Amino acid sequence: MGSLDTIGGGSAGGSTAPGLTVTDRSNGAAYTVTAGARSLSITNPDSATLSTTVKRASDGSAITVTGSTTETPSWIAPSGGVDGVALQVTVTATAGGLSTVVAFTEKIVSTGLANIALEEIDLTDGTWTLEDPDNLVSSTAFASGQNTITWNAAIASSDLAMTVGSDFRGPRWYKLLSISGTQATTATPLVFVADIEPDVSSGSDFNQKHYFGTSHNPTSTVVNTIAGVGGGYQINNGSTTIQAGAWTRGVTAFNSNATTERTFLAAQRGFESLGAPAYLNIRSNDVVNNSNARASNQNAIGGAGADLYVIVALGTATGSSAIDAGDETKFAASFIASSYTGI
Amino acid sequence: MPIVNIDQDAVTSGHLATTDSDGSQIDVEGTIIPVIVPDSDRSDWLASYDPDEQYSPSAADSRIIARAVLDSLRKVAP
Repeated sequence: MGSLDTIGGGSAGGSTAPGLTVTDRSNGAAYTVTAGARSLSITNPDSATLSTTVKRASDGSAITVTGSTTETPSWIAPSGGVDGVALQVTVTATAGGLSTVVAFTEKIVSTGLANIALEEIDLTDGTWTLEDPDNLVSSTAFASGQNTITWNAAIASSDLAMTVGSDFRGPRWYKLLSISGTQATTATPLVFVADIEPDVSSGSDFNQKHYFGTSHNPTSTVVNTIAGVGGGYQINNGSTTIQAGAWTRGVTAFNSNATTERTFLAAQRGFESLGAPAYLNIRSNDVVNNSNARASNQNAIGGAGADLYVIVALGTATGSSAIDAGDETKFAASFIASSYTGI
Repeated sequence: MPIVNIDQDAVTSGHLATTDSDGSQIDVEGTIIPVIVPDSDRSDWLASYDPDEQYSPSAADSRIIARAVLDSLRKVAP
């Protein structure tokens, strides 16, 4: 049985705070639970109005509660991830202007190095900065895990492909690469992992090629100054076939297969050097179509301990590919990075 | 006569956007054949080749590289 907190005073004019108990939960206590389906059993003897909220203790973001005004609210506890998660659960019963609260913490333990959850890329979530030298992005939207970028018109230019010429002026989103709260730098030995899933449902609007990885100069318009390493994908105009694979600076090494749904990549870097990205291209039934890797051949990027960023850069597949106003790029992607010591 | 080797296990097909040996940029779907020039043969290869002479390298030397590459390609060609 839970204990009670009364808000709004005790008895007044003969009224008393409503009764409230939560089975196996006490006010102010902390519990360890497993990820997945969670539910409560609430006793509400005075038929008060109930409200159950669940928030992440780290940032206050809300977890959706089903039946939040009932005696059996439920929600899905997220994976503990690498760092573990704490949820603040608050059950409130209100009647006659008085409230009784049972609030407690549920902790989901870290999963350690197993089943590490990736961070979803939502370019609209306020954590990303857009650098768009030629104002090519008309709008950016995010829904159901998918980013949709709508383009302004662009004439064909070698500057819209990192793999053509020395300059790149395509739009790119970037943010500091934090690994469990520690800022990664060019000196940090790390592995960047990403899952990239282009949307080809309606065919590509133009010859497009995009890049996902890390950089210490994400706003530069010089390819070898951006010095990115990671992965990417290409879809030609009108096609639904994904070419996907590795990206290092001005080189992409992709595999093409009509049944590829997504690419799973890992890219090393550290010690002021770019490592080699490697990838698996995977079908919707989890069968791997292709695997390969690409040497970066760059052992000194000159970062001198500069902060690293995650970068999502968009462009065209060739220097002769134009973009029409209203053309779209759609993808779902997620990433995580891990760093190491003793190497 | 110098030799070259092929890393046949690393022969792959793919779409490569990179830089050619003449500095030009290429963007092509193709077969990627890693050619290994042994360090012990490097100077012999370079000595036998004059890029300003249209008949260089010799037909015999050219065949060494050509046959190695083509033998590799035959093994992966459909």
